[in-house]
Amino acid sequence: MTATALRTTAVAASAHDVWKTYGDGEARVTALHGVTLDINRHTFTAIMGPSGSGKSTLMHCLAGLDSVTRGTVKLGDTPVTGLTDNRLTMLRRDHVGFIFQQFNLLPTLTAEENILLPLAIAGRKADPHWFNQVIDTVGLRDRLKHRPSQLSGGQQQRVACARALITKPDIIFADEPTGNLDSRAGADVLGFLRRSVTDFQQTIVMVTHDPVAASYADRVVFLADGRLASELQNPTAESVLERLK
Amino acid sequence: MLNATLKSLLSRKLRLLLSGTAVILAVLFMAGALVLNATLQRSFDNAYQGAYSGVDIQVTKPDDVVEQSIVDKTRGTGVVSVNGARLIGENGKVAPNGRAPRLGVNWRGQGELREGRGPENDDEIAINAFTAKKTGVHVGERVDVLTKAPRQTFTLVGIYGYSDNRDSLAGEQEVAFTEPVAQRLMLGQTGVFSAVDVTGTTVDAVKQEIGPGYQVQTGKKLAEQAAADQKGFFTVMTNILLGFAGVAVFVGAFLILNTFSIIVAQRTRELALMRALGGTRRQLVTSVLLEAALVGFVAALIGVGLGIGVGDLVARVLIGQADGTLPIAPLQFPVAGLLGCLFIGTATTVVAAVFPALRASRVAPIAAMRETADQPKPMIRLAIVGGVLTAVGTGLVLSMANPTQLLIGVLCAFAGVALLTPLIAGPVVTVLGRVVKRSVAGDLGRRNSARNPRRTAITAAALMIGVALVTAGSTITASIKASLAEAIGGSLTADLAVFGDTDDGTTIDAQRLARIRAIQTVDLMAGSVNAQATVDGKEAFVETWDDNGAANLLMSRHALQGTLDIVSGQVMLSQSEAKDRNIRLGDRLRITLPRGAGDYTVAGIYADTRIDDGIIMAWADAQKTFPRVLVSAAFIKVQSGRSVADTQRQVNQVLDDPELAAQTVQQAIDELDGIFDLILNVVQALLAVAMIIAVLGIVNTLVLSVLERTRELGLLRAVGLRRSQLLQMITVESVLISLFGAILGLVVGGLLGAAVTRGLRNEGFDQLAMPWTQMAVYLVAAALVGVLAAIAPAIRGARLNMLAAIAYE
Repeated sequence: MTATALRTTAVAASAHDVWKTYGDGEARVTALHGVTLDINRHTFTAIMGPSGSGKSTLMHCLAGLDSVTRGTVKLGDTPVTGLTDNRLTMLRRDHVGFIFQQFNLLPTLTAEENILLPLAIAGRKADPHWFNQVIDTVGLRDRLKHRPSQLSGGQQQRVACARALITKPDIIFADEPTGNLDSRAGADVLGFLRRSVTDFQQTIVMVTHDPVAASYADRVVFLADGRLASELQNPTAESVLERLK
Repeated sequence: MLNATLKSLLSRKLRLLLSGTAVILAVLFMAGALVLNATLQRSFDNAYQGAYSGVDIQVTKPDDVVEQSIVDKTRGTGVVSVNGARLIGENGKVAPNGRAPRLGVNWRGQGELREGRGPENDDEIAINAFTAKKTGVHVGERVDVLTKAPRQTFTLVGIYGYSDNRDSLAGEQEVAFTEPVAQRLMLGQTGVFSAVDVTGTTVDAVKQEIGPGYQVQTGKKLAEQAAADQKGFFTVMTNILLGFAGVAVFVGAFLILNTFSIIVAQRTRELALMRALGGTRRQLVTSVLLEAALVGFVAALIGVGLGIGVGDLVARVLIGQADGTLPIAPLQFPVAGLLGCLFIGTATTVVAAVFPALRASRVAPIAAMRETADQPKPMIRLAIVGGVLTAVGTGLVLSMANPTQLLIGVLCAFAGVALLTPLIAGPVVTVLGRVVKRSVAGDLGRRNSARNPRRTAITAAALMIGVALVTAGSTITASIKASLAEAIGGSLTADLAVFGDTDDGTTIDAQRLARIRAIQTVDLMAGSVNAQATVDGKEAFVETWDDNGAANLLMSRHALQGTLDIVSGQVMLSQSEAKDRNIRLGDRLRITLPRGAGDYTVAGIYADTRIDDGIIMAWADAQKTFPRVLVSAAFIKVQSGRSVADTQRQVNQVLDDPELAAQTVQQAIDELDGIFDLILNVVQALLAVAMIIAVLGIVNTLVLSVLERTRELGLLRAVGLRRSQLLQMITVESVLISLFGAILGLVVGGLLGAAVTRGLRNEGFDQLAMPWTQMAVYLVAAALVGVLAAIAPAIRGARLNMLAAIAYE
């Protein structure tokens, strides 16, 4: 599983006829009903849908955080289904970035240490040129020595973004990244995500319920009851809102 | 409110189990000790009641023999039963018998004959089955018996036992001679007895008949007294167990305090909600205390149950070791004591929960609406209280006034240091963690352990107490050993020593002494005899030496005043003895000994040697006044340049004794050290108890940390931390906490030990020795404890569902 193997195709991640069920018998809940979806490289995709539509489940399955009941998930050319925990962990470590609604920074580490954490875990050094570029883009240069508790919510989320970018992953998954932020801080983070696709050729999949956030994406995928309902290219806040009605 | 308390309890089963375990252990030791004690007491009572079952009344004369005339007057049975008859076994050695006596008795058909017959001729003996088992001799064999008289050979004609198939009544060895032989060997003259048994009459009637000067007691009373003498040893055992229980309670209190603090911290939102909904502070305090009382009571109940089992088991093992000489009584339940255990278990839990309960009541209602964070709280008050307690405790320890004050001082100092630990937990753990900083997982673990200093500190405190106690014990024993070695090595110039005992007649006869003195390589030799005397109306041991000049050299005695070459009519004494008795050079002392009293002039006072300081009489005077002038201890200096080992062999050839042997001085020191090693072993067993509880505490803290940091662990896993690295991270946290506790314990214990040792200076123990090797072992043990404690929480952490950890819905 090398980096090149993942980069040979134009598709960064794909789901093919993915089913996901929880529980058994009476309590059986089907979260995904045979979803098929390709995420193209260097694109910004938003996944939308009402609560319980399965959008978070789909993202977790795509990211290799959760197993699927049926179907195949690939990251690049690598099938994720059936990998051992350790190989999956390595895959995530080296090729996938994450941004969460709750920021999820380690309170014991400084902003800089949080950003470098994935590299530290992998035992690698940061490329100083890339590190500077990331820091300047997220605008955290004067906050590097601060602890998460000394940062605002927007700043914390920018640290989380930088942490996702620092490994130059093949794909970044963002789960409601602006859900806990006010609109200004949210706009900062979204602008930054947009730039990392446009300027740094990153691939981003974002789950959101906010039409404004979705309008930053190249493409919006709508889910309803665990099925793909429709999709929209080059969305605007208005067109997304229109589609949600 | 009760309902809410119960629900909250049940939702935290694991944690309750952990804190409950500490209470269970503590109560187990207490209850076990009490049950053991009661059962053994009853067993001994039963055994001795059996031993004296045929005796209605016994007549004795304090410190003297009873004449034949008393037997005639009372129409009783004359009994000879005196300690000091040693049968030489198959291997040519005397079988040791611990603290139990080796009796020489007159044959009067006692017990139940199992083999052969009773002695009829003066060269015949019968022995009890216990002696036969211990020595391996058989009926029909010729055996040697040592008594106060010279060694003598007999034919063994019979072996007897007792009712219920017992081999002895209470672990005693017994040799039965014909009456005249028993009288001659054990009492030194015929026609006298050590006691007279009388049946079918009353104490008063006997008293009237024989007149004053005799002690007349019922068999029942005698049985109680004899049992009480034997119980002493088991009382020590019971006290040791109670000591363990005390430590367990003390350490357990920390664990409970910690658990409840964490529970309260975790329930902050819930508690704030209760406050917001109108719950009063009092209700919150009650809720937490009620929870504590319930946990404490249930745990104490389990502890009592287990304690009864353990007490029973230990009683069986101990009695089993008595070689079937003691029939075990049915299990005894000291009801009051067991109820006390229940109370102590419950009360300790409640008291330990008071602080967490108060903290719970101080939760502001607004906290329900806020995201709670580990805000470092100021610790000034903690520092002040901790500092004061430590100072008071240290003061009490240093004053060394009495054991109670020492104990209170130790407890105060421990509590004080425990309060101070949060202040140093952060920095110390950070420094310790330097070692593991290289790996990411290790570094994260290090940061986690420094993250909540209060929690780290109180978790470590449990281990600290155990390690401190055992380090203090080790320091004291090491210092005492060093002092002994220094005293003996410094003052005793002899190379070899022979130790006997005047009481049971293990002495060296004059002929052998002369032959030892004649060995070519022996440079100096002196033998000593002791006797109990009254000096100016006060009791004292007096001593005499067959060659006082040699003794002065061998013991390094130096005259401070007068002369050390005493002649008849003179005595000399050590400086401390002179000071204690307020005696000056030239004083006349009235010394009363069994065979005569007299006035003696103090001719010399010598500097304390710390090995043999007392009152010394001239050899010539002792011949006329001492009850027996048989040398029981001898010291030998080998000519310089000659082999000590060769001389030792020659001396032992001359001695050719089944009991006595020449030891090198080092061997003698080692033997003395052995006693202290035994004490140390007991103290180390204490550490084991404290460590078990400490492990529980660390497990508790780690499990909680894992639960609290679910989200962090999930994140770490999401960004690529392998399971093995996660395990490593939690283990590092655990080991750092235990090392912190152990280091604190080593420091506190070392200081405590040094303080006590300093207090012993006046007793002649003036050396301070630190047990570095043992301390290193304790440190390693603590690290292992850390690893052990991390196992369960780490596995739990590694198994966390990552999605549940990071998903926020």
